[in-house]
Amino acid sequence: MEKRAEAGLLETIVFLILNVIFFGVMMVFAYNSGSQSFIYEQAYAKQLALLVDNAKPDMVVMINIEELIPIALKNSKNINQVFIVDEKTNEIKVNLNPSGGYGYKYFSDNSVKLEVRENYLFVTVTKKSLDVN
Amino acid sequence: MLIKNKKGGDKLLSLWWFFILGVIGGFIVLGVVIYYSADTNVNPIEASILSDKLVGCLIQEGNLNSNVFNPDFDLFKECNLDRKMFGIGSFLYFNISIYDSDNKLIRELINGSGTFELDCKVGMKINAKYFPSCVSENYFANSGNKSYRINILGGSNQLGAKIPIVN
Repeated sequence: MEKRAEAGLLETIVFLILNVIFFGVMMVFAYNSGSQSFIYEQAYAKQLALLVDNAKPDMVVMINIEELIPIALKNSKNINQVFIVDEKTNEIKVNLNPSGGYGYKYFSDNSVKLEVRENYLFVTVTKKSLDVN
Repeated sequence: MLIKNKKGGDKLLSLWWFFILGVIGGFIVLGVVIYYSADTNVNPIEASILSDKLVGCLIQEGNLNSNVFNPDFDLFKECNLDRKMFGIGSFLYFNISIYDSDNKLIRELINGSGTFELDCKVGMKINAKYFPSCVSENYFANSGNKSYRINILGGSNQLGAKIPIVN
């Protein structure tokens, strides 16, 4: 009689442990999904490219990037290397992941400089010098 | 039979319970994947910026840039646009049509793939992901003693791309 009760208790405990594991895995999955960096990469790359297109030469725009710093740190990325401008292809690249990033192109013929200072990204748009082509 | 056999009923309940957990888990994963795979389409904004840039350099204080009638008129230079981003096969398109007061087309500047305008019309009707977005607007401006209607259509079909390791 006692053996049967023990077996029943063990089954219940195993059942409960498996349930706890399942919901634990689901919670970890949901948490990790909530901080997915590729969403930020896409949003910032597009935002920056549109900003550059809309900007006039000699304009400096400050963007608060406070929310990106913990994500970059979590992914072991140096915040100064997150934003890159490729002037050959006119592409703004935002790179928060160790595996790669997201790129979006701009069409204005301006020179763009991106610089991170504390919690802000400084976007400096200047006219391309005539000898550069 | 199952109701009478309590142990069998427990096992069935366990299996049923794990099946439900599997379904719940599957839907959570599916929901998250759908949510994060959603793409933000900024093509209408990009088309609007292109159109505004073209207007800004062609019309100043209600006056049409008179250079536009010059055969050597360099729109890219005047509007500060990067020439290499435009042309056949590019994700950008524009069509500038200038009409006189009699509604006669007197100057047309087109750049980009010929099918772009048609694709834009389709894209507006079916809201498809891979179709371009266009912005078309009419403006009125003067040049000398004449008045003109300028139709500017700007379009974009940029998709953006995931890129490999950047450093």
